[in-house]
Amino acid sequence: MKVKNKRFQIGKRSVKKLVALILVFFCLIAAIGAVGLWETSQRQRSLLQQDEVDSAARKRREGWIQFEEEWYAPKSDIETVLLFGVDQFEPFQDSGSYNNNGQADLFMLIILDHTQKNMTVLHINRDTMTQIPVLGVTGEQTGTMTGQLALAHTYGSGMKDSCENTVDAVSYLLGGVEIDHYIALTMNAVPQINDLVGGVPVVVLDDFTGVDDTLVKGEPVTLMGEQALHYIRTRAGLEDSTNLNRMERQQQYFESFLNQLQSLDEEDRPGIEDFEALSSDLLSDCTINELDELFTQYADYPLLDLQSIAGEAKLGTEFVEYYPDKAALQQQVLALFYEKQTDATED
Amino acid sequence: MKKLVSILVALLVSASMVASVSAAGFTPSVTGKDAPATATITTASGAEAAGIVYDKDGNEVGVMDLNGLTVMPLSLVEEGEEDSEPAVRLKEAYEQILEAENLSELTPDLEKTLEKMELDITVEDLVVRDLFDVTVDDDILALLKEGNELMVNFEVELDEDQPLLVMQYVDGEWTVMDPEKVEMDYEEDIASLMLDKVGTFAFVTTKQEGQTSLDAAENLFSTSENAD
Repeated sequence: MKVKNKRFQIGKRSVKKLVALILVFFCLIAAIGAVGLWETSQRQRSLLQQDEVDSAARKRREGWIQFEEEWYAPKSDIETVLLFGVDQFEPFQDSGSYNNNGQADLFMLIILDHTQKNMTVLHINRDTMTQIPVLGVTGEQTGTMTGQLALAHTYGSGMKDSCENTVDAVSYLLGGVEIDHYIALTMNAVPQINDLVGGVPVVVLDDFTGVDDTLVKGEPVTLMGEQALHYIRTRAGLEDSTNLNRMERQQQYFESFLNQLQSLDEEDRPGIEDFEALSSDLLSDCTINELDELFTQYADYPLLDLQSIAGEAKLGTEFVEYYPDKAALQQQVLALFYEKQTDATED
Repeated sequence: MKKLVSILVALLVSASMVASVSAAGFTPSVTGKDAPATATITTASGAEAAGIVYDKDGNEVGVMDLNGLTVMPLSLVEEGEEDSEPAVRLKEAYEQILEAENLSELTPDLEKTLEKMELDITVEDLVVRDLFDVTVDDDILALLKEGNELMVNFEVELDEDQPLLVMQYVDGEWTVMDPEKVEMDYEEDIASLMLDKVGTFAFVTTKQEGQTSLDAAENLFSTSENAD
């Protein structure tokens, strides 16, 4: 009996040990399982994060913008043409130096929407403060300077390099949007192009007495030749001599010019011969045929809107400086050049 | 009659005052600078000057007034002055820079200067940013010939990682200014040069990659108040 009891006692202890061992075993299994699960979830999370990083990097490389938690992709079927004037009467010629004295003016970024078949124009103030690439003596970029957009053209020889520098500065201002083409005009080109559409009718917005007495405030006139240049270029001698006031006249002129062009039959519109005649006063990365196409094919796109960039003009140490309202510019750039992406469109 | 004349005079005076007010309201359009602008220096007596001449012990021995300094860029060589000494120097210097495959062809001193400055760049990384000629009035020139040095300030905007080296073209030879005689204030965008002679100068720095569309997007769509 004693032995029996002893055996029983030993068996009971063994069972306890066995249970403890089993418990420890299960705990161990559970712990290993938990660690495994945690590792798997961490790995999955890390893969997901990596996917997100890769996807974000890919989208950015493709020109997408992430703004306030939303993704925006560049509009697919738009073409942009930067039209600007260069403040010189002489024909375009190499300055023989690495810089030149031709400030740019009257920046009109024409946005052609080939899907909607319309155009929007963004009129950019020449005094807009932005980063401008500084070209060195051999034409390479040596840094940037902060200054009025008009100065971008003064770097380079005054030819293609200066125009491209201007395009780069405008693109930078607008958050890196692609600008497909540029057309630069000397002051001499303005009367010629004006007359190619048969003159441009406007109601005169300012008092030009003493500057051009043929322009009477409030009176309708069809601007011809030099009158057109006086109307869109003059500041000195006017009651409101600010560039902002001049920009209003430039916008009025541009709209009317476009109406006038659209009212012409195709055969009466400026064509290849006219562009050839203008060749010393017009500089573009477009071929003459491409320019012809712009004037004949796309000029009929209705003007959806002519916008300018909201901001504030301040007098700097010497010259006027125009500071864009950043929040407004962000929204404007998104609306003009991007499409908001939903989950469905992203896929 | 006297009354009529005085009324007419008063009208003319007020009309001319209106004209001058509107003329004062006109701000001319911005124009580009063909060479770095000079910045004034304050002398020991508190006067504004274009430059100060120091002797070897650092004492002020001459002050160059604002009209005493002429900085001529290549693009502003005026018609009829193409044969002047500064214009010829500038043209020669410009052509030599254009012809050189890299700047060490112009002077081996550049490599030595980079070593002295302990910069982790090579001559191939360098480009000429500005080229211009400096002339001073005869009094200052005489002081320089006596072994004194002229301090002149230029406005130059560089990134903090961009060094400024100054090359000088004298008597058909390029030399590099001792880097201890060139001080760049990156916060104020001012380069201060201590010159022992005048002539044609080239500001040399590192070439930069163009801003990418990603940089531009980052600039516009970041959260600070104004776009720059």
